[in-house]
Amino acid sequence: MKKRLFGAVMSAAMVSSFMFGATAFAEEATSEAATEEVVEATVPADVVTGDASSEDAFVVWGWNDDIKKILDGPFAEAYPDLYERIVFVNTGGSDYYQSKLDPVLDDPSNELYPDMMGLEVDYVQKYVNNADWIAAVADLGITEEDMASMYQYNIDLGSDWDGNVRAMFWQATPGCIQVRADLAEKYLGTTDPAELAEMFSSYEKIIETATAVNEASEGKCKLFSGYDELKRMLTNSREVGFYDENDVITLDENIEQYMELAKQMYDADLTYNTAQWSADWTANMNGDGIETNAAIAYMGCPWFTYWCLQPTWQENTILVPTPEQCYWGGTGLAATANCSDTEMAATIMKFITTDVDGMVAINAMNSDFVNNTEALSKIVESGASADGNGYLYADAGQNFIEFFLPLADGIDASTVTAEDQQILSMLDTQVQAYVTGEKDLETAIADLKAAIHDTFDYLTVE
Amino acid sequence: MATKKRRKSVERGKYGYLFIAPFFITYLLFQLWPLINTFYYSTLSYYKRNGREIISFAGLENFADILGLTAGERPYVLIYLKNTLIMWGMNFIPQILVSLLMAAWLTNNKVKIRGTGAIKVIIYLPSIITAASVSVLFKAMFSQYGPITKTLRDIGIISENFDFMASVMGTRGLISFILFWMWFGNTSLMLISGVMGIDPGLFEAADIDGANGKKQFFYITLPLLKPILLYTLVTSAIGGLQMYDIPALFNVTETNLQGLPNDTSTTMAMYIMRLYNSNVGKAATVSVFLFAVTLAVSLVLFVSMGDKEAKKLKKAERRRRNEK
Repeated sequence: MKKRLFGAVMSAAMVSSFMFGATAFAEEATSEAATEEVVEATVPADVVTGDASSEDAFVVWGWNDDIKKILDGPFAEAYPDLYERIVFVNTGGSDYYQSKLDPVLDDPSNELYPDMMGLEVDYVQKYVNNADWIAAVADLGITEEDMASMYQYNIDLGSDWDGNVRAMFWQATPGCIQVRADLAEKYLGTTDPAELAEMFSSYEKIIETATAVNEASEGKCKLFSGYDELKRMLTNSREVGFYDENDVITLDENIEQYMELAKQMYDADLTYNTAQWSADWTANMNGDGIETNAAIAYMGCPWFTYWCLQPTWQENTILVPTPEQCYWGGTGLAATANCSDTEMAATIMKFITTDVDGMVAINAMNSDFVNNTEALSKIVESGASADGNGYLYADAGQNFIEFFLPLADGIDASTVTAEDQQILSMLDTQVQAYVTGEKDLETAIADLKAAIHDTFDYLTVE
Repeated sequence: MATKKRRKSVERGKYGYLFIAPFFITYLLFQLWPLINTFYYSTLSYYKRNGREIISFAGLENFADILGLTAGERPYVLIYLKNTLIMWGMNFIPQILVSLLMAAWLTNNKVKIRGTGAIKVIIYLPSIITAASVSVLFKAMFSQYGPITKTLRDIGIISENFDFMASVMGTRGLISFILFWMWFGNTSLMLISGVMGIDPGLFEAADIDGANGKKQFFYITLPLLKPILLYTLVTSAIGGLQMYDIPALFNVTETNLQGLPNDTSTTMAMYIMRLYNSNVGKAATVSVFLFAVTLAVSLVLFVSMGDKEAKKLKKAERRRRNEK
């Protein structure tokens, strides 16, 4: 009997050691090597540039090299001495950024503890509402006066619930539709921006246009690569956030409208049904619409032009406003609560987000639509960026910055919540299930709410 | 006199304990302690909001929540357990059958397949590659407009609109296939070594008695392979329940690790990982649940597959002795 008991205990111990793999997820400090390997293999490695061990290292975190390019370019030129001290940590992708960043923010003694970091719109609210993590810009010596030329929606995005600004943005991100001129001429019969704008002036018109393209090309060319090109237009022009002040989950009418439109497009075979950012989605930018699949239009914004458009679009892009005013993305810069050199943090933040000359220099680098109306006037005056970093189709006669000026006025991003990134991801799952006929609209919406509540317990379903 | 002897043997054993001590120390520190901690965390309401941890004691509330026993909660854990088991089953059943076939062929003296060494190496190769790379590679090949999907469409095996990534069976089937492809070589080798461990005299005797290959396989090879089969089954079940890297990289949402389409390729481990970022208490609860399921599955397998014949023989022996 004793022997058998011992056997049972030993087998339990054995199973438990196998099982440790699973339990390790719930335990951050220690982890079995095998599990760690698995997790590491599925998560991109950090790329650290600079010497983090040096005494005066100033660590900056980002999920790509967007910020690094600005630091390497205009900032290095203006402040070569300070630039020497910068250590840049690139986590390689937005998806795992938060789970990498959060433990380090809780551990100021870490060599790679950020002094400053980039925060994307979809989760910037999570960080600015945690004063243990992030310093208020007022404490860095940045005044309201410094922010006078900023777009208000960006100031709101970087402010905590009490109105303290903690993150500042260097770009404004009015949404637009970017149309490929050669394909537009072929299948839409025009390259005139006004005529094109008419074709995209409402969601019904967009469906009509998509149908026309599908018919004219016999399905070889589509208006959009996937129905999710409509996603940001609708989610980023919502009037209601994903939950109200009582933490009850609320869905704006736009969410349902998006699902219906997506279904309509899917049923009529109006897109290739690719997912945004997938390889197929990118490939469709380069297609010719004869031998290979091609999409005529992409949801875009100023940064999308230099960051995402493929070479095929060079001198081949026409800008068209979205049916509703919306924004897409943007990166806030924030200094941490235990920043080792607040003076340097203030210098960088001022140069990148408030200094007219600094922002003109950023624009000169990539034609970005900077978050400073004064700098923008200067840019328009000087005629810089008129061709949108070489992407605009000259015959359409558009001016890149001037096109976006009216679209950036009065953007409202007050619906953004700390959990937007994950919730939008859950929305994708339900939209796909709904359009493919897996479930009906009510079930999809109920499932979405249930999924939100399951991940974020404190948000409740009414 | 007797006590002296006993002490001597204990002294020698002392070194043995020294040698195994490192394992037990690391086990206690890095495995058992976190394990116990996980049990503790599962009784806490421990979630994060805006990066701040909010902790309070919750008792068994978490368990009621994850099992859907509380009003307004859905039993996601059961849905994901089902996903996991389906994908594991679809990989394990063909895997064990093909491996048995491989083992039978590659060890059969009459068939005399040439180049068995090379075959063994080739079937083992896939398991050398990192699961993550394999997953990404398969995703590229079977994506909506991936080369294999396109080819299959062109030759009419799948319909023009079929998309593996939007089909429940397509995605689950591919994940299972990757697991099968990666691990059947390993299992085959294990079974081959098992077969080679069987006394060749038994096969010779069977030959002389006129048993054909099929009979030999079912009456000699298979019964004697039972311990190895049990080992394979248990390790595969434990590994399968913790399935993570392949589904987590194969067809998921941008963030939050929802297995597409429609959350049907989400596994238990992916769920734990997802929850860990927002709700540690619940993640720990799911871990404990997974632990319980794994323990139960392993025990059931041990008991049901244990050597019944041997037990019967032992019992009969004992009875005979008692009678005497």
